[in-house]
Amino acid sequence: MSTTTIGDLLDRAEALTRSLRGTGAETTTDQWRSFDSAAYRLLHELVGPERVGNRDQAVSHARLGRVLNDYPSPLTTPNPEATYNARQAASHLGVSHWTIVRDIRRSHLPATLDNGRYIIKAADLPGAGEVQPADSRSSHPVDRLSCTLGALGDMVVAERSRKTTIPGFDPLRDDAQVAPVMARVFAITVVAARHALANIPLQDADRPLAIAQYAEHALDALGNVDQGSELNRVASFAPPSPPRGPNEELEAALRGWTTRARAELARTVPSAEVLRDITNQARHLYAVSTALMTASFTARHVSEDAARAVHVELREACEVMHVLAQQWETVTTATKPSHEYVTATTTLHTHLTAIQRESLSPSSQIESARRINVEQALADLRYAATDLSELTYTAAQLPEPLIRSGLLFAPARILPSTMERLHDRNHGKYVAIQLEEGAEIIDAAQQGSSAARHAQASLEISVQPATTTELPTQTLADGYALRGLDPTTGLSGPDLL
Amino acid sequence: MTDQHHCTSANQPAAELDTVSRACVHIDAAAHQLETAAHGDVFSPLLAPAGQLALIRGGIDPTIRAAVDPNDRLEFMAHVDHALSLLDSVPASAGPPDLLVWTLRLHDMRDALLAAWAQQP
Repeated sequence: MSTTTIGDLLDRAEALTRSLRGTGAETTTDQWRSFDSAAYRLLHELVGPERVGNRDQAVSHARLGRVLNDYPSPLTTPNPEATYNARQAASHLGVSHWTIVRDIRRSHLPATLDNGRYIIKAADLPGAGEVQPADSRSSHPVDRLSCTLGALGDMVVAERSRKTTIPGFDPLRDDAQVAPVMARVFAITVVAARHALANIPLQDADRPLAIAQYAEHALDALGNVDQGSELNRVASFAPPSPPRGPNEELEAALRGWTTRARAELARTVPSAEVLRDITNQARHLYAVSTALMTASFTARHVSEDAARAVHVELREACEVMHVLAQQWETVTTATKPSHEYVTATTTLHTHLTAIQRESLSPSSQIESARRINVEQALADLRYAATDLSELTYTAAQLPEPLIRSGLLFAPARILPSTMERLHDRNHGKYVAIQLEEGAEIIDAAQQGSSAARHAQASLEISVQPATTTELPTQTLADGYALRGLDPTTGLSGPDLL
Repeated sequence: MTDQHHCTSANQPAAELDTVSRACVHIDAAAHQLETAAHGDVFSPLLAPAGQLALIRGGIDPTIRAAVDPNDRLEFMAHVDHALSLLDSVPASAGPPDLLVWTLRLHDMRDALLAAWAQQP
C-alpha cells in the first residue's frame, strides 16, 4: 500500500532526528538553512490563517499564532501567496511592530487595511532570501530530515485546501489537534539545532543557537500537549502506476474513483446518475469489506465479535444506501455523467467483483499472484470508507439547493397532481419538484451520510486491539468460519455472477 | 424531457419513441431485472451491475426511464442485446456525439456479465 499519513511522516522524522545523535556528520550552512526554512514552513502551515468570528476559537488560535510569530526572523516566506499582519511581518524581519507600521504609513511597505488590520503580502517583504531546498537524493540525515518536513508541509497544505468535508474530521481547524503535532516538530527542531550547533562552521552557529532556544521556549509555551492528534490520520496516497497484483489494482481503482467522484460532486449541476452510483458503489464497497472481514476472521486476524459487528453494521449501511439509490433513481438533473467518472467507477466495479469472485475464492486453482492480501485490502477499504463519509456528506448537501433552484426533476406522473401539471402528466413530462416533494430524498441523503459515518467508525473500531479472549481452536477447526456472516449465503436471486 | 412511462415497457416500445430512447428503455429494463433478481438482498452481487447499467443509460440520456413492466418476459441479457442492436442501428448523424463510447461501454458490460455467467458452477 502506498499510503502515507502525517503520523507516519512524523515517526520517520523523529527516527531521523534520533539518528543525528549518533552521527558527527559535518553539516553545512546550506543544509542547516534548508532545515530551518522547512521547519518554519511546516509550523506556519500548521498554524494557518488567523481566525475570526467565534471569540473562544480566535483566542485559542491566537496562542498558537503567538508561538509562531516568535520564530526568529524566518529565512524565507513560506509561500508567495501568504499574507502577514504587521506583527507577523515584524517577526519575519526581526524588527519592531512599530517599525512595520511606520514603513507602511510612509509608503515604504505596500499593505492593505482590512477591518483595522494591515495585510501585507509576503512577497512584498524586503530581504526575503532564497533558500535552496534540501537535495532529495542526499543521504545526509539533515537533508533527509528536511525533505521529510517538506513533505509534511505539503500534506498540511493539501489538507487545508481540501474543498470537501469529512464529517467530524477537521483537525487543522482544531487547535487541540494541531498543538501536539507542533510540539513534536519543536522537539525535532531542538535536537536538529543542537546537532547543527556542534557540526556547523562556527561563524554560522548563531542561527541554530537562536532556533534551539526559540524551539525550547515554544515547547514550554505550548504547555501540556502530550496527547495524540487526529491530524496524524491525515493521509496521502500515491497509487502505484502501473499497479501489479490485486492489492495494487484495488488501491489504484479506489483512488481513481474517489478523485473522479469528488470532481463530479463539484460540478455546478451534478448528475443524479452519479449521485446514485456513489451510493451503489458504497454498497458494493461495504459488501466487499464484509467479505474481507470474514476472511480475516477465518485467518484469525480479527476476533469473531469484531467480524460480526462489522457484518451487522455494514449490512445496515448497505440497506440505507440501497434506499437512497432508489430515491435518486426517481429524479434527474438532466446532467450526464462524465466519461472519466464512468471509466473510474467501472474499473472499481471490476476490481471489487474480481475480489469477491476470485481473490477470496477458496479454490486452490487461484494462482498465488492473484490472491489478495486481506489485511492490506482492508486497510485500503478503511480509507475508502473515510472517503465515502466525505462523499456522502457532500452529496447530502445537494438535494435542497438543487430543488430550490428548480434543477431537480421528476416525472409529473409520480408527483402530486395539480392543475399546472395536468398537461405534463398527460404527456409524460418531467417537472421540477417542489421542496416539500423532495423531503424523502433530502431525508434519505442525510441518512446515507450518517450511515457512511457509522460504517467508517465500525471499520476503524474493528482494527483496534481486540479485548476479547482468544477463540477456541475447536470452533475454527470445526469450520464454523462465520458461516452465518458469509455475505454470499442467503442470496435468493439467481446466481448470475 | 419526456418520462417514458406510458406504454413504454421494453417489450412494447411506443411507436413514437426514437431508437436511442428505445435502447435506453431496454437498458433500464435490464437493470430492473437484475435488481428484482437480487430479491432485496443488499449484499447481492447483482446490484452492482444493475447500477452500472443505469449509469450507462444515464450517460446516453439522463431523462429516459423505463417503467417497471410486471409482464416483462425477456431475460436481462436479451434486453442488453436488444439495446446493443438498437444502438448499433442508429445512424452516425442521429444520436448524441458520444453514443459510440456508451455503446462500447455497454458492449464491455455485456462481455463481463457473460464471462461471470460462464464461471458459475
